[in-house]
Amino acid sequence: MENLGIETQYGANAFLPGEMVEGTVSWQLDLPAETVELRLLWYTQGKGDQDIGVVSTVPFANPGLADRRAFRVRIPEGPYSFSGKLISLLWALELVAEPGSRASRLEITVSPTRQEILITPRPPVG
Amino acid sequence: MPTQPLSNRRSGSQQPTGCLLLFFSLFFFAGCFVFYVALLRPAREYLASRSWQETTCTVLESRVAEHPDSDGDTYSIEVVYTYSFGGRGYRSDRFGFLKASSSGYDGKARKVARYPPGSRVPCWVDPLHPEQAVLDRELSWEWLLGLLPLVFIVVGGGGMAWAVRLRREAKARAAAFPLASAAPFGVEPPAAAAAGGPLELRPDLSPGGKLVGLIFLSLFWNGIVSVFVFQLVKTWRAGQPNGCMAVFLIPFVLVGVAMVLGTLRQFLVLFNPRLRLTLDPGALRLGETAYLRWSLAGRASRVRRLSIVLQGREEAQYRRGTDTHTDREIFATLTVTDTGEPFTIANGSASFGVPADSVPSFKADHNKIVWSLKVTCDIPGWPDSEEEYEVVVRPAGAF
Repeated sequence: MENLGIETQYGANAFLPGEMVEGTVSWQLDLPAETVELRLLWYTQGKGDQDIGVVSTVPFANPGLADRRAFRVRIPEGPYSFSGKLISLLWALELVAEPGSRASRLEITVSPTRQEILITPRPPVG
Repeated sequence: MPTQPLSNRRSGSQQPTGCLLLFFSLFFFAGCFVFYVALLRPAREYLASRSWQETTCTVLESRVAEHPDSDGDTYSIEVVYTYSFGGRGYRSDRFGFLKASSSGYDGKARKVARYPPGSRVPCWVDPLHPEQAVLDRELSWEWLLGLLPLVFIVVGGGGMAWAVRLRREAKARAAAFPLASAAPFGVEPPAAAAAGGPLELRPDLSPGGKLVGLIFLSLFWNGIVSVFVFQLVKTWRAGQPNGCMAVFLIPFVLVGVAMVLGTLRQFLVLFNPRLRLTLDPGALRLGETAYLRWSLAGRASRVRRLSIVLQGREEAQYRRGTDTHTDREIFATLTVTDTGEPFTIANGSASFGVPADSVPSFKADHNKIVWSLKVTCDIPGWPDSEEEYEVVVRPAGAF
């Protein structure tokens, strides 16, 4: 059975903008992969059509059928993880083996408070 | 257990834009063809016939032809007549310029009754092509049916523009993969404000721009409708009022009147005092204070109340079938000023801040966080000015 995994250092899953994420990825594949890479991406969920932004990729050279590699990737300054009435923006690390589009995903939070920002309507101020 | 990678997708659904373009092109070109045949060509002939020469023709046959159809029978006028022009005899069967048949027998029967076989009636002949003649060159409400293909043209043209836009967006997304780190929030402040300096704000749509748009729309609509209103007035003057046509035209005329009133209102707004807004710094930051200065050029004393609010909203664009919808949800409203003091209305400033725990501006293809200043100048007995100025809210701290 195939298995792909992502682990961050200390199991962290919330990060500050600009912070460096370190960790390890591992995979065990039935069929050989031409490429295995880690992608850092944000995506939206909610009422609108989905938007996705892949902000960086970390390719792993000469991937074997099974391996374990370390990675470092820097979180950009934005956008922040937030959740509103219509839109939620989420971040994830995704390990992808091609061909076959085999993947594993680890959801993370990116914000200055390391917590998702809630933008529920609030009463007028002033 | 492996899953499907989300990152292999691109923003939005992957539409086969080539098929969409082809589909809407068929609508568009079919609409153009029918519009040409049903209205443009007859209209061109109608205009050309104003210079044709009147002569007398002899009616050989006249009848209302019936065309059975599963959706209901339709009728057309068929008249055959002869005439002489330039010493030569001609024969024609063209009654009017509209060739399509339509429902409604009685009106056509009344017309045919005016052309009994053997009668000598006036007809009009093209002096350059004497084989071309027409018996009836009056406009009737049936000409309005020629506008129906416009629906296909608008739907087809709009769909083509949409398909082209989808294709461009897909290309732009492909080119922007991965997302440029220079604009992590998908939005950048104007160059003048990027360095932290003040910025004179411009409304999203100027009063003059709105007026030009309304004038264009109003002229287009009322230009078409007025042709038929003119014909209707002629029937009233001739003592043969056409009630059906009048009822049919009422909604078209009402829309036209509303457009004229809207245009007039926008014209009056041009004479309102002009607001000048300067934001310092030009790009706001979460949790930081900004200063807004305003001055009214013109007769500021006419303004009874000036209200400026900062508004944050979510905008989510989505497709349902072939329609694109945008939902908006306001999540923050902050009053910058709301004053009735004449001196402060004419010239004033206020400080305000975006809450530190809120979100910066964000723009993706379909999802946005938009911050804007909404300004209302309340003028008694006169159309108010209502304008929106989008502003960029950056995260706290520099990046």
